[in-house]
Amino acid sequence: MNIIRLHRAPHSLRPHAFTPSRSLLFSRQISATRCTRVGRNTGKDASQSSNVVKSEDGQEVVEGSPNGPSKSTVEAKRRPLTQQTASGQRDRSAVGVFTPTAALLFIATGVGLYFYFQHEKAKILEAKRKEMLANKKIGRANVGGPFELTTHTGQPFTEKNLLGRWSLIYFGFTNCPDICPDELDKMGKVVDELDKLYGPISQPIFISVDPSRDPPPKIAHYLRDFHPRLVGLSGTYPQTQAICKAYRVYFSTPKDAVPEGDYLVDHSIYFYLMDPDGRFVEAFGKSSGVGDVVEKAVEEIGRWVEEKGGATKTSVGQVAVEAEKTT
Amino acid sequence: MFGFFSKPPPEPTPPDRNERAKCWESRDAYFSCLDAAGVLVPGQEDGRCSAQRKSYDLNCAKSWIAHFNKGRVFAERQKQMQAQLNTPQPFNSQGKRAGKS
Repeated sequence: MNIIRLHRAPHSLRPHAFTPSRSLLFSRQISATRCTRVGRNTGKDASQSSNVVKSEDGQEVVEGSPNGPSKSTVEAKRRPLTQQTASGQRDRSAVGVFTPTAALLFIATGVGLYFYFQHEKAKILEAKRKEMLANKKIGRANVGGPFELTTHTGQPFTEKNLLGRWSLIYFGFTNCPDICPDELDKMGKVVDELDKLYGPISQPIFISVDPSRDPPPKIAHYLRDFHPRLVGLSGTYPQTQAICKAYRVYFSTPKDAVPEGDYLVDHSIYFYLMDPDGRFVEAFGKSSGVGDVVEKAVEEIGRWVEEKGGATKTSVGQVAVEAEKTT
Repeated sequence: MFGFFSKPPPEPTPPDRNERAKCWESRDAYFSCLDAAGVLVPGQEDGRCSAQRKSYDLNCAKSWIAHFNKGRVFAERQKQMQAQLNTPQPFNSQGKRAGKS
């Protein structure tokens, strides 16, 4: 900044002094006779002349002072740049479309747009995610689906009967030596705990993976040892196969098994928690204790109440009412 | 009583809670006898736990006995493997477990 003004000043004062040599000469003369601040501006003619200019104007204008530029400096600024000075080149670089300001604006706009689109994209993704969550299509295992079985009292039971209650579903068989009874006992305790907290909002269900040996009457007999609300379901071999496939349960009942056979059925030994919409919430293995299951269930029920306004309210209220009637 | 399996086929009822408890009790008695005799695999005790074996056979279905016996051997093997994993073996200079070079 300093240098720019220093060079322009002499020309503004002496309009005829166009050649650099004359200007230089002039400034030298002045510097010799009238400059009062030579000492400070040693070595540079141009800078010396600057001081002269200021003194001639009679204003004590210093660079950046609140008085603003002197008349001469303003004039100098308006003059077309005809000289090949350092300042001229710099100014000329600012002419045209690609000024530094424009470049900055361009970059700023680009960056701004980038972030704007990122933000918009995130918003759209978030909305999609929420929609998916609402449909329970994401964030949960694809466990469950339509099925047709018979209760231990001989009533038909389908996936619609799961609606409006928190279902605890265990797959097993009545001739199960140790794990099934343990798990069913555990499930019963969980139901009791949930009953204490919320009332009878849960429905324990036992599904037999041994269709040939577990007809409804036998299951009814078996269930007497367990929770009074426990519902025992069974079906034909294909029906059993279908529900086990839908619920990702492995079982190894021999297809030609006879009712009087003494055999065990190898099967998956976890039980499921399903929400009042009949959708999968969680699977619990042998290592999960009653406390673990209750804790998880309470967490999920709390979330459900917050979302739906009731522990047993389904997403489709109408269906729940129908289900209530059939059970 | 002999439990469910003493009834004639074709409709054996599965054991109820009492019968299950009885079966588990006799199983535990038999297995602790085997432990005392230092026998892991049931059937290799050379008649040393015959009384317990008899009660076990009486109170549990054949399929259950086979299941429990298999389970005993399996559990023991698992215990040994776990113990092996839990005892850290020092690494030698080649970064390999000692004794497995």
